[in-house]
Amino acid sequence: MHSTVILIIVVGTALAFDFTNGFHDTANVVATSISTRALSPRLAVLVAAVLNFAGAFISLSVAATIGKGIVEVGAATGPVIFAGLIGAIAWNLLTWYFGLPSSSSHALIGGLVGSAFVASGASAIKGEGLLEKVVVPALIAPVLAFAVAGLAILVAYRIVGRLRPGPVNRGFRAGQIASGGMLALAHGTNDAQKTMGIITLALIAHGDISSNPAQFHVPGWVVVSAASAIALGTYTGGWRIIRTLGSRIIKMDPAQGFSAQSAGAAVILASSHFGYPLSTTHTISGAVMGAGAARRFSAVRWGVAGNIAGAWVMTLPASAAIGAAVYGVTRIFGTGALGPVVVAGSILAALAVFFGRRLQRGSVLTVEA
Amino acid sequence: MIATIIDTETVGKLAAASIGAGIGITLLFSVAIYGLTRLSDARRAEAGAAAVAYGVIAAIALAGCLGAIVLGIVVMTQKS
Repeated sequence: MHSTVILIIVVGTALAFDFTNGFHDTANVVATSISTRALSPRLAVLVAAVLNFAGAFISLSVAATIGKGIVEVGAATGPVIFAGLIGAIAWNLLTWYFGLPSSSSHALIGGLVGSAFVASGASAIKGEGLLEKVVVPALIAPVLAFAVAGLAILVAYRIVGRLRPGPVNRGFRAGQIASGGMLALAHGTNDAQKTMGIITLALIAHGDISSNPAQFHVPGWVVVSAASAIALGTYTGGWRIIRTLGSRIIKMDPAQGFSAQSAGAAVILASSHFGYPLSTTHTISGAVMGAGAARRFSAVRWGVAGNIAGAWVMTLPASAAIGAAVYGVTRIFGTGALGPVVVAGSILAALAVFFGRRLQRGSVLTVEA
Repeated sequence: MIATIIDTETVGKLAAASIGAGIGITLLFSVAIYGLTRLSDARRAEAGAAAVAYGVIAAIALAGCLGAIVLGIVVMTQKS
């Protein structure tokens, strides 16, 4: 009975995380298309939502279970996963509020590390895996994307620099529909998988699915619900982050927007191909800065870039701290389902009050760009 | 120590592929825009041979871009 209740709570929380992942990361996909007016804001988020949904079905390599190689498998119990998810959701909401693009994957890993640390001690954390799969890729992704986008925009300006700006801008805006679409698809294949992995892990722990690799499969309802949650979140649109990525770092022209998106898509797809985990957020943010700095170094608002880098550095420890605290609170109520029930109920009540007040004032999640 | 934490071989391949693909697709699309813009100019100037040449350049570059998109989708479906 207890384990079934925990399973239901974990599934619901995982889908809530997937939703925040969608609206937090919408900016990665649509910000440049909106800022260069390649697409209207509403159409851009609609296209991104549809392609994110489709992307979730393209690849089902769910074995890319989040936390694999970072947290000992035995330590990832239902309450630990629940607390980790709450840590990730809280950090996603906080960074969304301040309009900062941070990695949802790193927030999730941080949350799991924090809760597993409190639950099972330091031995549950694989420090080398954390360095190899999180810290080092976090340094490589923005630098690589910065370099690729910077070189790409220089090549583009070299070729089209002397042409009439009208047709050139129209051409790159049209190209952004394709490059933005590729980004949205890639995002769907990467990020919806994490939620599928979490839910599948919970189902294995509950005994609903065999852990035997030969019989391992992802139930259809898991795929559909994860794809729907991320698509719905994407459509809701995290306008605060869209504004940061689209216009607060640099004012982009369509050629820069195309170069940033193409470079970002190339880096993300190459990382998928070689099985090297790079954050979509870090990659796109680096590409946007690279496309801006290559034209004129001072065009990039380095203060904003510094705030973003600060959020990246804080993501792991902050979400770990929240995950640890949430796990600590659940343990006050024992090791059964009561702790997660009380925490989840309290959060839902707080959200109901928050959104009730926002509804009365006429705004809910979105602040239009 | 660093070699065990950083998979230098994979990172090297990743960097090479990213640079090749990222710059390659931007180059191809820029060439396509160049060809289409010059094609339009050549038509206006009634320069038939030049228009055909620019049209061919644009078509080849656009075909390359289309190929890159297909390759990207294939990579997504076969990711590690």
